[in-house]
Parts: sequence; C-alpha cells; structure tokens
Amino acid sequence: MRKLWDKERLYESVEQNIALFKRMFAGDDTVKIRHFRHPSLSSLYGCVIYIDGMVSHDTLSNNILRPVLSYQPVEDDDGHSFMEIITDWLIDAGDLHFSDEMDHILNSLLYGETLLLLEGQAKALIIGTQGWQSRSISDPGTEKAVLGPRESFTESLTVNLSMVRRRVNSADLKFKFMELGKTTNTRICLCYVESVVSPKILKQLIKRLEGLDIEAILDSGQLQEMIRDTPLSLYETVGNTERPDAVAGKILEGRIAILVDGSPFTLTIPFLFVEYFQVSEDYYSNYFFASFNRIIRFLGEFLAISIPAIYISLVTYNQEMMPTALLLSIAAARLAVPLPTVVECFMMLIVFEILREAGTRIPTSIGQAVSIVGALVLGQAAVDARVVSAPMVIVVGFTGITTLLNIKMKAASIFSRFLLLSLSSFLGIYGYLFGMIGLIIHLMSLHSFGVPYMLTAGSFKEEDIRDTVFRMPWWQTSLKAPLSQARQRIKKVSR
Amino acid sequence: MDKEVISHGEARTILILYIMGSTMILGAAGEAKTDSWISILLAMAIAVPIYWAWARVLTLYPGQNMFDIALHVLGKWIGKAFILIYIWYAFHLGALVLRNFGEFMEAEAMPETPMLVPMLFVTALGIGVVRAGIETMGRSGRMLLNMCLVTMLLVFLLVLGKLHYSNLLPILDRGWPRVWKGAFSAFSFPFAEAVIFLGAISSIKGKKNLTGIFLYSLLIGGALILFITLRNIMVLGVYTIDNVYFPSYAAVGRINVGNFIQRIEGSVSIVFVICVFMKLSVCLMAASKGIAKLFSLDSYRSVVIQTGLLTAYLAYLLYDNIMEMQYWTTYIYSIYAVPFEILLPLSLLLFAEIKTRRDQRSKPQPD
Repeated sequence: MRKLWDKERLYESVEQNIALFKRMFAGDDTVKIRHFRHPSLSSLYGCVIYIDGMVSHDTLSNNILRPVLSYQPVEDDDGHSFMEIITDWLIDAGDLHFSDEMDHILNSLLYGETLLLLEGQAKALIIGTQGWQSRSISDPGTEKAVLGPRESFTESLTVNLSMVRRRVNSADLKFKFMELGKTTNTRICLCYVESVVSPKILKQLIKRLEGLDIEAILDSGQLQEMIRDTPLSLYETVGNTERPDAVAGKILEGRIAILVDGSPFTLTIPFLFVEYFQVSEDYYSNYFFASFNRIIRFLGEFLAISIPAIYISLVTYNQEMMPTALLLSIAAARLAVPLPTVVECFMMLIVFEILREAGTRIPTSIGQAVSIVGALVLGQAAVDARVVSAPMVIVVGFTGITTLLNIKMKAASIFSRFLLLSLSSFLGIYGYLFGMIGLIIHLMSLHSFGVPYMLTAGSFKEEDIRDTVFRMPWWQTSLKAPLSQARQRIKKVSR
Repeated sequence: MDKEVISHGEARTILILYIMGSTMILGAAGEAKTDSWISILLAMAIAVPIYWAWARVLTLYPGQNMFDIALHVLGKWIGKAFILIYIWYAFHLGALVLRNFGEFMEAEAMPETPMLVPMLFVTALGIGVVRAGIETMGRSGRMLLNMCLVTMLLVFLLVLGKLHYSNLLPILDRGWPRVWKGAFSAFSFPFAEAVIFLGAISSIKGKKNLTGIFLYSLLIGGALILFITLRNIMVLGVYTIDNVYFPSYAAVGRINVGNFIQRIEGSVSIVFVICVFMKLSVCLMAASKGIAKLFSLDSYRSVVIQTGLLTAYLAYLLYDNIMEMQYWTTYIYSIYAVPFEILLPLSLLLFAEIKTRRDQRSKPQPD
C-alpha cells in the first residue's frame, strides 16, 4: 500500500484531505476521521485521523481535542498561526512532529499515531497516542529458573526495550531501529553496547538484515532462520531468549540483540555452541552448584544423542564389552520380543516423539489422558504384551528425559540421535565413532557471524573454561570486569 | 576465497595426531623386540635435524606450502615433477594408512564386514574435513587429541596392574645392530612421514619461525608412541607382540577390573579411528593441494572427493592379505620412503637456501 500512495500529496483544504484519506482507506472501517470546529473561531477548523483500537481514547479526547476546542484567544497572539499555538501551547502529548511525506504519515497512522490536519496547512501534525492492549509481563515460560529475575519479554517492543534499558543504565547502550517486511512493516530494534560491540559484526548484521526480501515478519523465528550463516545445519547459529536479564548479560559481553515487535523472543548474535548450556540462573546461584549443573547439561546432551546408538551397538555387535550378567538379563528380557533390536529402538523413539509433539499441542484440560496412555499403555502394557523389551523402554525413556535437559537444541539432538543410531546399526561401535567424529567436524566447521561456533572447545586454558565448562566464582578477577574481558575477547576473535 | 590461517597450537595438534597415526595400531620398531623403546628414542633423535630442515624450508617462504615453494625454487618443469612425486607419495601413504585400518577392522573388529565399508566411512570423514578446510581440521584436531589423551590415560590406569617390568629385561640382549635397524624403521614410519604435512599446511598466524611446531610435535608425538610401546611390551611381553598384528588392541584386551570392566578394546579403538582419520585427512589434503597446484586450479576443494575415493580404491587393491601388508611395512617401506622423506626435502632446502641468498644479493639494499 505504501507504493500505491507514494505520489500523493496533502492538500491545503481539509475537505480534500479527508477525501484523500477516505479513498486510501476505502474498505477499512477502523480508520476514524473526526471533524472539529472551534466554537468561536470559525477559521480554526480541521480534523483528526486515527485508527480505532490502536490509540488511547483517553489521550485523544483529554489531551488533544479538549484543549484545542476550549482554547480562548488572548490578545498577545503576536500573529502566531493556529498550528503554532496548537503545537506549542495546547496539546499535552510528549511526542509530536510535522510531516508532509505521505509515506511517513501513513506509517505513523498505521503504527497508532494520530494525525491532526488543519484548514490551510498542507502538512500533518503527527501525535504519539499509541495505546493498544498487550499482554502483561509474566514469568518466562520456556526458560524457568528458581533464582533470578522473574519477568520475561512480552509482544510489545517498547515494553521489551524498557526492560533491557532498566538493566543497563548506560549511555553506551544503543538502540537502532529498522523496519522489515514489505507488507507488515514490522519494527525491529538492534540493541548493543557500543564500546564492546564488534563494528565488523554489526555491519555484517545490518547488511544481512537490509538484504532480506520478505513480505511479512510475524515472529523473530523467521528472522532467526533468514540471517543465519549456515542455512543447512541443524544447530542454531543465532540464539533466542525471552529473558531480559539474559539479553542484558549478552549485550554486555559484546553481543547484539535483535528485538522484533510482536515477538517475545529476542535474538542474540553471535551465538556459540556453549550458549546452549549457559542458563542465566547459573550466574545467580552458588558457583559449585552452577558448575555441576553445567556439567550435567553437557553430559545430558552427550547421552541424549548417544544412548540408543551405544545400546544398539552393545546389544547387537559388541556384546563382549558388556558384563556377562547384564548381557544375560537383557537377553532374557528380549527373548519373546519378535522385532529386531534396531527396529524396536526406532519404533519406540518415534513413539516418544509422537507423545512429545502431542503433549506440546494438546489443550491442558486433556493433558492427563496423554500421560496415562504414554505411561501405562505404551510402557507397561507394551512390555507385558512382549511387543517391546523392558530395557528398551528404559533406554528410550532415559533418552527422552535427557533431551529435555537442553530443550533449545532438541531439533539437533533428535536428528543427531537418529543419525548415530542408523550408523551404529550398520557398523556397531565403529559406526557410532564415525558418526561422532563427523558430528565434531560439522560443529567445528560452523561459524556464527564469522566467529567459530566451537570457539573454546577442546581447550583447557583458564580463560577458555571459566564460563564454559565451569562457572567460576564472581569474586575472581576474571569475571568482575566482563566488559573489558569481552573487549579483549572480541578483539582476538574478529580477525 | 579468503586465505585459511591456523594457529601454532592447531598446527601442532594436527602434526601430533598425524605422527601418532597408524602407529597406534601397528606399533613401531618391532624389529628391536624388547629394545624397541630405545629404537624409538634414537629415531626421535635422528628425526630432529630432518624436522629442523623441513621447518627451515617453510620458514624461508612464509605463507607458502611445499608445492608453492618447489614451483618457485625449482622452476616450472622440475617443480612440477617434484609436485607429481609428492602427490603420488601423499596419495600412496593415504592408501597405506587406510589399508592398515581396513586390515585392523577385518582382523579384529568386524570379520564379516567387507573391508571396503569401514574404509569408505573413514574416507568420507576425511573428504568432509578436507573440504571444510584446514581451520576446521585444526579445531577438530584439538578436541580429538584431547579425547585420545583422555582415553589413553584411562586405559593406562586400568592396565596398571598388568604391567610387568620384567618384560623389558634384558636390555640390549640382541645387540646394537637390531636396535639401529629398529630405529631406522621407526624413523621412516612414523616420524619422517610427517613430510606430507609440509604440503597440507597453509599460512600460520603468529611467529614466523615454524621450527617450534615441528620439534614440539615430534617431542609429544614421539613421547606418546614411546608410552604406548612401553605399555604394550610391559603388558604383553615381546613374544606375544610378535604373534599379534595389532599389539595395542591386544594389550587393552587384557584389561579386567573386577570382572566388570573387561574386553573394552572396542571402545579404545576410538584412538585408532581418530589417529587414522587425521593422518588420512592430512595425506588427502596434501594430495589435493598438490593436484590443484599441478594443474593451476583455483581451489583444491574441487578435487578432494575424486582423490579421496581413489585413495579408498587404491587401499582396497594394495595387498592380497595381511601377511603381505606385514612384509611391506617391515621390509620394503623403510627403503621405499627414503627419497620422499630425506633426499628430496633436503635437496629442496639446498636449492631454496641458494635461491634466497641470490635473491637477497640481487635486491638493492634499502638503506
């Protein structure tokens, strides 16, 4: 629609302007046009145009219409025009400016600002009256934590920005707005700390965002997929979070946050593999416990992709590696099961994925049913009926739980698990090893905005493990000054 | 395409894994029997000047690999002949390493699976990492080396109870000639094989002098080989070592902790897989880079897949059986490798020194 009305200009006559807007918004009844005429001054005559539901009626009537209509002319006008009087004295709104560019006027109107047109003026006064309803700030749904701040981002960009701003009270914190999506004109905001951000990465990000050719941006997830380095990888190279404290921490380390209007998920770049395992609660709890939890998460991810593959290779190929007693009990459990172990394993894993997907989508009121069917029918009854063996249920159940440990990388975990499982069903423990080495090569070859994805992996240097494998105590000098540390780090990495 | 740069540390890890390579499976200096550890120490000592010479060649022309230097120093035709020789050596060595792994898989791990299958898997991994570039190889190497070290340490702890120092005695029972023979064999395989690394390497960031990389890797890689050899002799005794093809695998098979941790040789073959994979990748990268240089291709990446698959086929055709492989590695290889490992690199160094001196003299002195 922007392109359609590019050539139009505002007229001096209010009637003509009204006709113009009616033509432009024909068929859109939410656009309201209200005439007004001053009771005593017949030349003070005009209209306000706004979109119903996007503006606050309170502001509109109390701060704009009432002062204008109740204006009593005083003697020392000094020949000021009505427009000057209105802007300088009468209207009580914080944000107002003039424009005669149709493009800008329409965008403002659509974003919930009010236009005020006066007879004899070929420009519009744009008044910030946005006042739509949005969800109130609530607990983060996807990143639960026992300790630490409780609030999470909402769908409103301004509210989200205020949550970041409140945490980093510094003039160094910069917000850069852009508009994306040809039809939706979605506002996005790049947020970074200027003294630590890498200008190279920032430039690259802006280049990528400007190069996007997309009709509509409805959520940050779309953006996440379109600006990443390696479109074919399962591992994300752009992070997302709904915790304002996590965003604040990340931008203090020199990362760039991308907030998208309408999405409670904020993107952060560059995103490294280790960030999957860093939870913001780690930084608020006891450092022994936090480090322990981190290691548990690493172990969990390793198990999530490996358990079925290792089980298959131990049971079908490398039986000698298992203690005899354990092997015998597994063999006894498998005795009456008709399916080959590999088929059994694939089947049960698929069943688990079905349960998981069903559990995510169903309304909460019938959630009970799924857990009963899952636990009793597919677990207990299937074993009793000798459709699957009991060890397989344990393996699949445990695998499922370990996936939930790092829920953000579940896509990558699930696919890697199936890949390793297929390989080890061909070549036993060697197939698993080949698959693991292949996975390591793949991860090592990834980059996020020019930064190696596995930046510190495989290194035992103190500076490389203090916030990756472990979470070192805050009183250590190395963590006290995150800004200067980050600056050095970035200098080293962005070559 | 931007130039790939690796750090000194990454170059060192690649070289250490390369030196460990197939020696982890086959063992080194078998001729010297109980004294093979002395042979390995001697071989390391002999390797020092050779490694120094290689490093010197690379240091003279920073940012270039052996193929660039050969073309620059020896002129177009002799340079291309030199490149061709090394393409063959890298290609053949890759196939030999792969075949070692294949024989190992067929003899010990998967007797019923055709040897080509695991070999093709390792080749696929090698192709993957070579196409991803030397940066990826360096970063993966760091992680894989750590995995190897951890595994070796764990195995050592588990095998502690089985170490018999008496197996090392009597020292020098068979006399010095055998020790020297073993030293020569250990020098040509694995230490001097690292000449291929000169062709795979590209720019290295940081210090110009590369001698440190080579000597450090020789020290660490050699120490690890020495450690494995000593462990194998002490666990198995020299008579058993003579009777098995793959001593490390047999030594780990002896582990039994409380009848619970036993027969874990399958899981320690992670070390074999990693080392063989790394060695094959370096050979493949050197061969591909050489081919790209020979035919003036823009990027070596376009020939990696073909070279890799051909390596796998050559490996499949190399020997008829494991006896032939044993004969080749023991008696022929150490002589076959001498020109590639010593004569040609040293002559390249000689010509490079002469050429740089002459270039410096002809250049007007800036003062």
